[in-house]
Amino acid sequence: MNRAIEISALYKRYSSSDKNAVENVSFSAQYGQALALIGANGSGKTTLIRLISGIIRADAGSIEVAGQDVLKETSFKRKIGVLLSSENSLYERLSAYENALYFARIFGVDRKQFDLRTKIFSEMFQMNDFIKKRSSGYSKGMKQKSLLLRSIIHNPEIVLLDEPSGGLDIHSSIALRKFIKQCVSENKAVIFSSHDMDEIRSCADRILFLKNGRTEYFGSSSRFFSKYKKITDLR
Amino acid sequence: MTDVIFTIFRKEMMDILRDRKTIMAGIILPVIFLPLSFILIGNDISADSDLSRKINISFSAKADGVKKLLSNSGKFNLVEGNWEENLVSGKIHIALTHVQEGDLILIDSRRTESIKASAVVAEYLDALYSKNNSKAEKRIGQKFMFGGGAERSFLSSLFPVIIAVFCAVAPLSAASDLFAGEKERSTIEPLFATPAGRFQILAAKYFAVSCIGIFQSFSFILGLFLSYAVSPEIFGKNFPFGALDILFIIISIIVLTALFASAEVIISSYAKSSREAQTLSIPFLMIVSFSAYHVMFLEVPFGAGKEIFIPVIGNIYALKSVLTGIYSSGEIFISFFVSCFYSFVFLFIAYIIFRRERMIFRS
Repeated sequence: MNRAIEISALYKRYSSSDKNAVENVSFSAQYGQALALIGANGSGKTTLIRLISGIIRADAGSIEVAGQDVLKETSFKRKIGVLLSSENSLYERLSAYENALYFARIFGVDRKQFDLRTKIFSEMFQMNDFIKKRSSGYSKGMKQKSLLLRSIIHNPEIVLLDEPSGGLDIHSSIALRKFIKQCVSENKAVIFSSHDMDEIRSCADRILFLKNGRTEYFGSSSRFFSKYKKITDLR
Repeated sequence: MTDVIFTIFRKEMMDILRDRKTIMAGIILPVIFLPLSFILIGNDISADSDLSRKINISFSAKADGVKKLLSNSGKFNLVEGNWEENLVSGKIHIALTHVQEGDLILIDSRRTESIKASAVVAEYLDALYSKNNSKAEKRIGQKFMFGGGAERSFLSSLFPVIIAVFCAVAPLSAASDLFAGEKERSTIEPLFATPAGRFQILAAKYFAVSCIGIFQSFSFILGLFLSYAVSPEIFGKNFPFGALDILFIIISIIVLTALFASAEVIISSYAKSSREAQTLSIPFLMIVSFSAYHVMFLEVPFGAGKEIFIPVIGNIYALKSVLTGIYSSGEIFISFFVSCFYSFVFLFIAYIIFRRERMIFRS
């Protein structure tokens, strides 16, 4: 099994803070597996996803994505799909369809492929009623589905999802779990952060547990759940 | 590379054009605002339409040709003697001389009647030259003597100022929305995770902001034509601008908007939010306003000197010259070149900001 992501001794501190957001974090993620990032708010999950996707740069350490050094190369960005947890990151004067089409064009996706993927995804996540309406009137769940569609429209081999189930109803949460499993079955690497333990238990092959920016646990999902039997054990 | 720039540009244009506030402020407002301004000024001018019966004029030694023309008309009182003394003492409303570019009306800028008399005489001469097809004599310049009061001459002084301030204000909302606004809404981050490079994103957004200026130039020109339709007396009997003048106004608006947009892109790239971008833009708008105000008092026949190399001042001056009827190709070229040069410099600074994480994600 090839390594999709290889991270070694990673450090990141924001200029506005006096402590590291991420400190000496090392882990790897494989193709054909789902890796869950867990930890309390402010533990460094989103920072890690921002670092892997090249939005921000690490202060120290190395990040390899699809065999490329994130600090030196940019072509790895064609291979990743990123969903960030910001609720407002849709262009509100555009519909979900137009938002996805915009990103599809940047990634150079063929229009037929775009239409096909949009159709499959919108049926899977029940988006047909609103997909062509302006997103300014969307609920939180609708926005989340639209962001998810936009992030995977180019069929990336590495999928980075920051709290993807936030705001989703029960049907869409089930659809999301199916979607993550489908990605894994297609030999994609999925890295997702979540606070939903059922979702993690259902989807994750491996888990990275962060505490104050440091690695508290990294290993298989089954070993994690045998080690941390109760929620209180995670504190 | 260009495909990505075009994709981002197209999306930004769609985004801007769906924003009602931007459309109102940038495109519809000039069409309404300009004619209203001209109606007010037109009413003021028409109230003094009987002034021509009382206009007293002195002539310099060079102005024998125009003196003969006006004396034959029987509508003006020709006053002999030293024109400067006559103008200072108030014996005459205006004086007339002749320079290489054409006739030059010398106005006592301290007196409203002198400015109004100048408009009447200019209109009379223009009609006369048009009738006689005297192309060489067509240009009629104005020179404000004794300082102060020049702001009362709308076309040659206030018009370039309005254009300059308008061009500075118009792209502000789009610039602050496309850069600081995107940072505020976190929409810029997913874009940074795509193959689109920072330069491509910056260039596309800058083109979109500047493009609004092109739309505005057309709305501004449309407003100008509407103004002529509703208040022709302010322009005289004939529309004072030819195709070349209109073309120059359009190019000036585009160049000025591109320059201001590049400066506003720096501010907006640095700002954390749209509101902060607009607050930080206030000193910039003040500099533009002061520059424009300064140019109002530069006397066109004598040139702007070294100030032609200063962006904004050079452009407004070149525009003022053209509207006064004096085309100086050297000054026009220099002013355009300087503006383009500074636009590139500003964009380079914006690019540096755009690449720096501490700047773009400033907290």
